[in-house]
Formats: sequence, structure tokens, C-alpha cells
Amino acid sequence: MVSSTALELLLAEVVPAALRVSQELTEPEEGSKMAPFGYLVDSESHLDNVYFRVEGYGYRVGRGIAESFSNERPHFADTLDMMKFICKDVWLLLYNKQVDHLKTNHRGTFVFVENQFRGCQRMSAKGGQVETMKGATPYLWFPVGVIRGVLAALGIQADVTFETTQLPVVYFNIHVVQ
Amino acid sequence: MIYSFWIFDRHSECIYTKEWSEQPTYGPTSNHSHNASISSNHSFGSAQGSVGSSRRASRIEGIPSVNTSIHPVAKRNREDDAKLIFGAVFSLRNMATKWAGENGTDSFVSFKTNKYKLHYFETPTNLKMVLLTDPSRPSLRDALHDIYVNLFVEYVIKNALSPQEFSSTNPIDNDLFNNGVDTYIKGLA
Repeated sequence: MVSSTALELLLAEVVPAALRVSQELTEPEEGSKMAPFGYLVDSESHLDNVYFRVEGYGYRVGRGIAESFSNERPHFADTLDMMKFICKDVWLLLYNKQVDHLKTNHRGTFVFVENQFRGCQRMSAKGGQVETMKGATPYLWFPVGVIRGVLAALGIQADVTFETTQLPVVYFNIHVVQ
Repeated sequence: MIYSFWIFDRHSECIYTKEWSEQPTYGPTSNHSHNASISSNHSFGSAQGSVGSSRRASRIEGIPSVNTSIHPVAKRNREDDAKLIFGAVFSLRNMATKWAGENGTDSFVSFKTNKYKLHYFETPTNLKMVLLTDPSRPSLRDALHDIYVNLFVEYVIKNALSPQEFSSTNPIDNDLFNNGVDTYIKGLA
């Protein structure tokens, strides 16, 4: 349905684009120093702004995906069923694979365990693991937004965060707001 | 035995080099004699001129930076080697293409001397990849193609954290690509 390479290359530009927009809005006179392609976000001041943008793009995509790809299936039985929809259908759509493990405490907390998260599999920055983690963080806000967006479209409000200590292992934590 | 691996971008910049072992067999003298044999080509003649001038410049620059980890002589030679290799493959490729006639765009594959063999692969996007090995190696074009498809495209082009334009002073530098090349080449040896 979507060329995964095209999607990947587009997503690679999402963070630098968000940073450029954020820079242009806050420091319009410094337009000449705008972030080039492949730029690592290192200024703390823009990080929040970039978070809201990138997470927002993901949210918008998640809303759309939920509407476009849930109409063929039966109604959701419960929240766990919705999580399974994200882990299987949505992840297959975006990353050509399913989430490796889905954990839950049955009280509104869910964890998606990704041992080989496709979104970060090919990320490697100059300066090794530390710089790679730093650079990859804004890109992980996109799937965070997607998860939140899909859930929102299905009528569930949730806080979504991610955790990683060694890429490409990523944990997505979802707390359903009761 | 694989000696070294080089990538040149479409602006003729050497954007990646990696060496695996000492290469005492291909020193400046063998390169010079080799140059002389094909320097009748006009474009190569101009390339040679720029090599000569930059060598003088880098020799002057090389003196104060003795305390760097790479010995200045080794560093200077690597820069010069890159230019020599580029000059050689550039003119050989043009010559081979010209003489091969209509379907000759991909006709330069390798050349060898009694000391080493140079394997050449060029992508449709004008990326030139060069592998220097001992003279007895069969063609490594497929290996270069593999490196391009499975490592360069995956870990440089599709790597969101990697710049997309490189130069000789700002070469490809990321662990996934570096380790990938190292593992692949050691697997061939």
C-alpha cells in the first residue's frame, strides 16, 4: 500500500523540517543557519517545540490510519483488543512487522516491546551510541504520536511515552487515562 | 588479501576510505610508473597536475600536526592515494567506455599490476567504489555491488541521522556502515 522506503525517507525529513519551522518561528532573522538534512537536534530550547510538532504529525497520521484501516474488522471488544490492532495491523502497515511483545498489567498500562524497532534500525550517527540515542529521540516521537492518535480515534485517551537504553530495542509505554 | 576500500561521490570527492592491512607493496614509486604509462589521456593529465600541487600544500601543512594519532606522513599519503586512485579510475573508465562502443558504459571492471589489483564498480548515480586487493583475487564487482545495496543504501541513504552530502574532510562516519563494511570485507578474506 505504501512504499516502505518512500515512507522511511519522508520520515527522515520530518525532524529536520520540524526543527526548521521551530527555528524560523522563534528566530526569524537567523534563517541562514537553518538545520540541513540529517541534522541532529541539539539545542534544548527547540526540543519541546520539535516534540509537539513531530508528535502532532504522528497523532494526525494515527487518527487517519485508525479510520482508514479499522472499517474491515469487527468492533473492538475492549482496550486490549485495540492495542492488538495497533501491534498487528498498524505496525504491519508502517513497519512491515508486528510488535514483538505486548505486555499489560490489566489496569490500563500497556507496554509494546520492540527488539528490532524498524524506525531506528538504520540509525547511526557520527559519535557512536550516545549521539545516535540523542539523534534518534525526536524520531521516536512520531510512533508515540501514531499510537496516541489511533487510540484517540477509537475513543481512548492515553499518555504514550517511549524508553530505550540500547537501540534498536524500544519500549512504548501506554497509560490509558480513565 | 584485501588492502583497502574507497568510495568517491559524483563530485569526485573521496567520501570514505578504509584500510585493512599495511600496503607496503603499492608505494609511491609503483604508482608513478603506472601514471606515466597512461598519462597521454588529457583528462588524466589535468588530474595529475592537481595532485602534484596539493601534495606540496599538504606537505607544508603536515609538519605542525605531528601530535595527531595518525602519523602525518601516513595521512598525507592517504589523501594523495585517493587522488591518484580517482585519477586512474576516472581516465581508465573513460578510455574503456570510449573504446567499447555503444554498450560500453559499464566496461571498466578492474586492472591489475604484479603487486595489486583494483576492482571498480560504478552505480547509476555516479558513485564510484574501489577495492584494492592482491593480484590473484577474482572479480569483486559483486561484492562492491553488495556493499552498495546492503550497506551504503541502507545505512547511509536510509539513515535519518546521517548527512546526505559528504566531502573528503567530512567523510561517511557512522558505526553501522563502518562495522558493516568491516564485517563484510573480513568475510571475503
